[in-house]
Amino acid sequence: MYLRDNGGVFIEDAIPIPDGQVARKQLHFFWLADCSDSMRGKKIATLNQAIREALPEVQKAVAGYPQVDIRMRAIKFSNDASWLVGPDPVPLNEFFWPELETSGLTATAKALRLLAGELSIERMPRRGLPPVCILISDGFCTDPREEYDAAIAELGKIPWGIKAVRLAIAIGDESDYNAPELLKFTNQESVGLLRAHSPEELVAYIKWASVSASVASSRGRSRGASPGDDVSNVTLDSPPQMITSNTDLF
Amino acid sequence: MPSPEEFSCTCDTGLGWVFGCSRTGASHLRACRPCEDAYAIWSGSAGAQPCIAFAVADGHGDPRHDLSRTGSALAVEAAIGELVAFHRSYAEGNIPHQQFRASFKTDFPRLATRHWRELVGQDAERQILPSPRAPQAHRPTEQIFTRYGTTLLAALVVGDTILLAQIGDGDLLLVRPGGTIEFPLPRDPVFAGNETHSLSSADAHLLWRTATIDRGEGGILLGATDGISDSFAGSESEEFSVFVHSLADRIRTYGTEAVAAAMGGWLDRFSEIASGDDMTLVWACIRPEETLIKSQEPEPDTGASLRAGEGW
Repeated sequence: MYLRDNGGVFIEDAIPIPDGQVARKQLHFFWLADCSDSMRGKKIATLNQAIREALPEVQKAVAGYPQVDIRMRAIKFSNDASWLVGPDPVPLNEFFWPELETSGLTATAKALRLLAGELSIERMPRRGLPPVCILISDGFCTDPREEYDAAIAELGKIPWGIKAVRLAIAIGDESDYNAPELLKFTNQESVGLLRAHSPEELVAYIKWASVSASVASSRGRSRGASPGDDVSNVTLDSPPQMITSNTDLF
Repeated sequence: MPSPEEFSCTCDTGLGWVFGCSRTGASHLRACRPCEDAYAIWSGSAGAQPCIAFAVADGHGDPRHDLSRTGSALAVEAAIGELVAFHRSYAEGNIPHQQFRASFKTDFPRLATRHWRELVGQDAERQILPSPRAPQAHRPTEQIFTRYGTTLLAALVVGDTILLAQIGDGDLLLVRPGGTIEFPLPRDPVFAGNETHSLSSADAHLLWRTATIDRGEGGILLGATDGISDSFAGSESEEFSVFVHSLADRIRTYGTEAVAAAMGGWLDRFSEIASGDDMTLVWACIRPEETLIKSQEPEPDTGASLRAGEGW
């Protein structure tokens, strides 16, 4: 309360705050996980464990941005692509990573199509934060090449596909996966393709990618739109250097 | 609790009151960053024709717009300068009445943009540009304008007309006494990922949206930075509209002064629990046109204060 010039007393608390449901800014996070047959064994076990371990770290890292409401979803792909968690987004604190099992081929293009559908203007909040999309794969896309290129082109056309933070983690020996193909998905020049040669590196990259991308997107500072500006407006620092142990490779 | 100094106001007894309140966002406070919003309000008259004017600007927070705090302050200065000049020109008979609205639409965006660029040029010369002997080296480049990037909303109430102009995000709307909300400006194209049109764009004069509306029965004209509407749920601003209706009710019930005193605390709360952004709200309680007032009995108080339960 304070005194008016005329000596009257004004009690601010007497005025109820105006109505209207307030909401935090949404950050939509998509995991795209390869569960083809080649991921069997150590690779899928490490991926399952690493994502579970990354979740509390993301939560801790974005605690400094209480205005941000992270919503997570996960797409799995093998012979086809489908929702592992979704299509309804799940708040980060309620998100649970189900055990992913392996079989079949590597339908990466179908997974990207599914992602592109969710990143359309109609499906995303009008004033949300740039989404985060992390693709994890150990192989070559088994969909026709034109389909893969068309899916990448679609992501490059839709506004949220352009502005999303898109990262890719390749698993295993470099002859096992198609690096140029995975690189086409990414849009962070300073990061490039994250190459995990060992379980240790896969865990480290999954944690680094999910935490760094979430924090960078959460900063959410406005900027002037420039014509032909078809790059993400979120920039990540370079990833940590990995020291590969030769004793425990995939 | 906000102190009474946390808002500003001005009035013209015939036209109405204007209040403004600006608060540093919760995320800015946590990061030790200043408020990048700015606003200015003005009332006066020329040729016995009163007017009230306001402007609101939201400096872009991205690192490439590192001088946007100054940019937003210069934007509201430029806007008020041009609104006042436009009003004076009209009041002095330089703009024929029938061309008044059309002139605003065609001229204001260009003049306000040019004025802002001049002010930025002067500031850049003082603050950042070297002073070599060659005078052409003083000319600011497009990259320098980018550093000052900001949005801008401007409104002028004069006679039977309300003139509105906006570049970039934010909200300019009018709540009529019956509760109808008018959004007179066409919507901007949807930008993803915190992007917006900017006064710093090379083609800024083409990116403005303008509208002219009849003052009629008056109402509450609101100008707000996007931090406010971004704090409310609903993809089509549904909950922001609920807030606007409720705010109009609070003004009717408790009076504008009381609402103005509480506004800083409310904005802090919205920023803390929702968008985290800087928040600036300017609202003008516009009286009905004189012809409409005369038809009402008893005649409303045209004194210097508007209190709880009164109309505007």
